[in-house]
Amino acid sequence: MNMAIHPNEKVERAYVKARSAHRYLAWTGALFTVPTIIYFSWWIIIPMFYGLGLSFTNDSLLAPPQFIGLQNYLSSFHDPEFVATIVRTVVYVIEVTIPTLALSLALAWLINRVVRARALYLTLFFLPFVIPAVASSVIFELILQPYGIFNQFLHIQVGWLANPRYAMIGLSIVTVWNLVGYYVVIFLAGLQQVPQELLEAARIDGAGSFQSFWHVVMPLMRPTLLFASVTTIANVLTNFTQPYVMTHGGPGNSTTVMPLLIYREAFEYSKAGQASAMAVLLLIASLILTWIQFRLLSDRDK
Amino acid sequence: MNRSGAISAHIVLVLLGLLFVIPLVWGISASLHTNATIFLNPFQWLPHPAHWSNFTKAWSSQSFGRYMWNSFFIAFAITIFCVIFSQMAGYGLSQFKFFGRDVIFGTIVSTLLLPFPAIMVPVFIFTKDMGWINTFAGVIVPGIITAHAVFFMRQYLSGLPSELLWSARIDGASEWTVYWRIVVPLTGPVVAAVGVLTFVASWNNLLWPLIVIQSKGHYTIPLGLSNFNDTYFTNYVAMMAMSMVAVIPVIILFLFVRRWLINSLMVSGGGIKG
Repeated sequence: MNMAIHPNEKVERAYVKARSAHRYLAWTGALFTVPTIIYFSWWIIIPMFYGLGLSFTNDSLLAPPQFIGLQNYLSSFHDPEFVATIVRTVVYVIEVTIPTLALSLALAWLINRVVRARALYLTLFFLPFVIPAVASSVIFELILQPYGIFNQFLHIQVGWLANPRYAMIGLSIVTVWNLVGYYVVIFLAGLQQVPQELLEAARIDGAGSFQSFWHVVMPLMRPTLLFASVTTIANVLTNFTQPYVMTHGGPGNSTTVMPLLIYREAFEYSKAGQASAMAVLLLIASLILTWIQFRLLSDRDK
Repeated sequence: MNRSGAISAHIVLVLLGLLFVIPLVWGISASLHTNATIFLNPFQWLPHPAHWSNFTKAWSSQSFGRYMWNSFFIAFAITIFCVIFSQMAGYGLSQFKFFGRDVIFGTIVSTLLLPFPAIMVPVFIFTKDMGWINTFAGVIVPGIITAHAVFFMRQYLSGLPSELLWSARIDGASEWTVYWRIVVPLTGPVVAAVGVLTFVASWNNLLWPLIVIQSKGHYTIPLGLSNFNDTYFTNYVAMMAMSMVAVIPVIILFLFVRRWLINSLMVSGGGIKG
């Protein structure tokens, strides 16, 4: 009789053992992520909600804050300068994102076509990405002077940073120069995932270089393009150093973008409540821009 | 890929490559000029005589030696913490299944989209409450783990064959042994990439040190440089010379690990899924 139930017992024991091993492994995996979870909660997630709370107060970083409801938001939107800053920030995003993506995609496409000196080209284009933003700001602040080499090269005389009409363009040139190299690498990685047989087939069907790029490569590159455009936007919306060092937000307020405005409100004018409301609006702006990217670039066939 | 196509690609790449390096070359050249000759038209690429004393004068005008050391210390500490924690998280998130794993990873990745200025006020308040204003801890701790690092580590470790880990477990290795003896040694290239990117980002960071640091004894290189911009506004060559000094360490570091860095970025970049 005992012999008859023995196999079942064995199976059950093995099952319990496997299950606990499974659980044990799950716990181990979770334990490895604990420092990161604590860090992200304490320094990112909780501050986000804390900031949302602060945006309804008149916090000054000095005295205990008082609840003032939506006043910060209302005063922000009644301030034409604030609305202008939002518009300017979006312009900055567009002026950087489109040239960065177009240029880095073109460069990656060219590098992918050559066999020799690939590492050299990648190094040349990547170099600006590792240059300290303060240093590149100082360099370009002088290069873009009315008498600087940029104008000498083009035989014109434009105050790229001194004229309110061109200051944003001057700023965008530096940011593009800084970012392109990183995305060249990302796009090159994406291009190498494109199966050669598909390109061969397109060529046999009589597709030209541009046609096969547009109809074969681009659809396959969509995820990479989406990643690149979304992270470029995040990069631009984080960018504080160049406007701060190169132009101090000027001339006038012509290069005051959201990060600089939030910094000034909070740490120069001690209006942390007001700055928090602006921070929430920056977050919403970045969500909207990301959503637009997903709508434009995600694969609707899936 | 015909031959003439490749040649024209090379020509365009060389021209654009030059265009990308010119600002740096200009920076080196400008740091050897005088404030009078820096805007000469046409620009004198090989200044004669070269004013090497710009460097010594600028260096001694502020405590740049001190700033350099502070920047090194901060960037090094952040890099060590970032590599250790993101490696652990990347392993946990890629090789184990547990409740909430995908939500955790999704949350971490979505913080890639979060601009730091959107949370800097509360992060400042938290740092202040911990008594870390004007301390190295205040600069280091709030920035030790980046979503980028966790993302890259996870992408890389997803490619790790789980049979390798299982055979060690069956041989009786503890989880810690598996991690320390098998996983960590296999992550060399991505550690180099994440390490360098973290080091460079920290070395280059201006905004957070600007908020947290008040005394010059704690200044970093970017703070010293931007201070230059305020107080010695017309002394272009000194500013330029110190900018070049700030650039040198990152360029050396980058050239050393260039291949690893670019390869790891390619691995993670190629694995991006929609």
